Amino acid sequence: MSVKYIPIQWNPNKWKYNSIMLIGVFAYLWLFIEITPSIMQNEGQINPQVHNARAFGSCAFFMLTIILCIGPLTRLDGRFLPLLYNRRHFGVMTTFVGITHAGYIINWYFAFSSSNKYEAMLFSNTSFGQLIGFPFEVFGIVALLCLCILAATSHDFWLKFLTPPVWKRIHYMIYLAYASVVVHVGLGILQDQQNIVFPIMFIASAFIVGALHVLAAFKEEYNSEQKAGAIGDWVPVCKTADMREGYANIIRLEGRERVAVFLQEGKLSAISNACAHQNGPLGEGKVIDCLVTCPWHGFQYDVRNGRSPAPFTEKIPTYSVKVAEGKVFVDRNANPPGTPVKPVALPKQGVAG
Amino acid sequence: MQSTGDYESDGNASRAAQPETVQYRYVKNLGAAKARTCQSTHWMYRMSVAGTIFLILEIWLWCGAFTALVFLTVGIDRIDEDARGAYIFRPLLLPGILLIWPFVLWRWYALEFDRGNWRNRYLPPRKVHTAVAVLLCLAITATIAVSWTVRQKWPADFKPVKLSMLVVKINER
Repeated sequence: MSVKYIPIQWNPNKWKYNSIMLIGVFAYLWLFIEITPSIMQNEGQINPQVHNARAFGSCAFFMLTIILCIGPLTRLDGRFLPLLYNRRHFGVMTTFVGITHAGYIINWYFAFSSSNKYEAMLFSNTSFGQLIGFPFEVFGIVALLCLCILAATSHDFWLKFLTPPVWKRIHYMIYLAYASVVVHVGLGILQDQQNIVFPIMFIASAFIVGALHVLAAFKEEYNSEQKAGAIGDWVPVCKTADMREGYANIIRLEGRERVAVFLQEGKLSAISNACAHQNGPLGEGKVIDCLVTCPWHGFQYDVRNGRSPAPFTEKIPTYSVKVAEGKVFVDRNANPPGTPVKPVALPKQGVAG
Repeated sequence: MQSTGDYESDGNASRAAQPETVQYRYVKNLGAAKARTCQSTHWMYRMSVAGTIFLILEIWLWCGAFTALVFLTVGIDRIDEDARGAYIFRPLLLPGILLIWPFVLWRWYALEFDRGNWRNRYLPPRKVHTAVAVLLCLAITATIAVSWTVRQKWPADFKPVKLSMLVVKINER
């Protein structure tokens, strides 16, 4: 946040989240390695090195699947929001699990090469022209590289330094990582599976990720259509009767800019819908004592001036608001971040429950 | 860098006739004895490509290390007030700088000399999300379809045969 940087800002929720995550990881590995080796892998005998590699590899895949499901689930249903917080810790943990998988693989399949084992990994199979026997390791390397970049840039410093939009663009690499992992598994272990359990889990997981993303994306597109009827620079947001005390209505202006118009104690205020932290949707938060809390990571802003309460110094743009013809209008020209704007009173009869 | 095609087209050329190149230097690292036994120039070509990739990676990381040294000791205090007096978190930034140091230099330059348009900070790239979601879904479907199609059936009734015995039998014929 806007106080001095520290390595990790721990709080009780993070401890709880990380504890559950770690218990889940260890439980999965224990189940895979000790309890159900015949269900999750080939029935033929394999050595412990390969056994462990498969345990960590499949664990990383399912962790990545869960991470990618969290985003669209929260867009589809707000009850999943607690899963979104601290998702970065989940990502960093997944990276370490993936690195462990790579370590087992390299130290078994390539460790006995006459050359450097890392170079051997690249040149031992170069059959790029065929699907059967394709060097699927390449996709694993791409995925791991993506995960390493995401984990290495997960500290709050990077968000502020790169700016949230740039940071978000870099972190779109998670999709490349997942697609690479799917190819890595599809052309790799899926070709060698005698047992049907893992292929079913793998295919179901991948399809769930794809389907959830498409559903969430189209829901968002549907909900953020621009309303017609602008008067000059004033863009209509909604009818006055549609405003709810303590909540916002969101409008997307031309381009990508989104504005959240809040009703607080019978008065209207408008701020950018993008949180200064990770551009989280502020309009989906509730106003309490003039402060709206970002549903993603809990950053707070005064809706009257777009400033975080002291000692924090985050600022977001504000917008001018007016009421006319029974509608709420917002000025499409944003005020610089942190600019106070006098709230506009809303006729009482127009307020919804 | 010498075109690696030379190795492939000149399959029977002696090692002594080959020019000294960056790739070749890496092959030499295997040791002269190993290199002598490596008759296939195609094999050497593949090894040298892998060596070159790691050489590029090494250079990349050294550039990152130099950037990290300067940025974490001088730059970060100049462009971020929240980092002034905060030192414990800085080692956590090291892996990131090593990996994306060109981004770091670009942002450092932008923050030092050009504050840019403050509006851009509040324009999340959400519009791309729909396209990315559809592409991801298509990629998953295509990958699973292809990988399942080419999946080979395991011969359940296959009885393992000792290869050494097989060789003996072939030799006997």
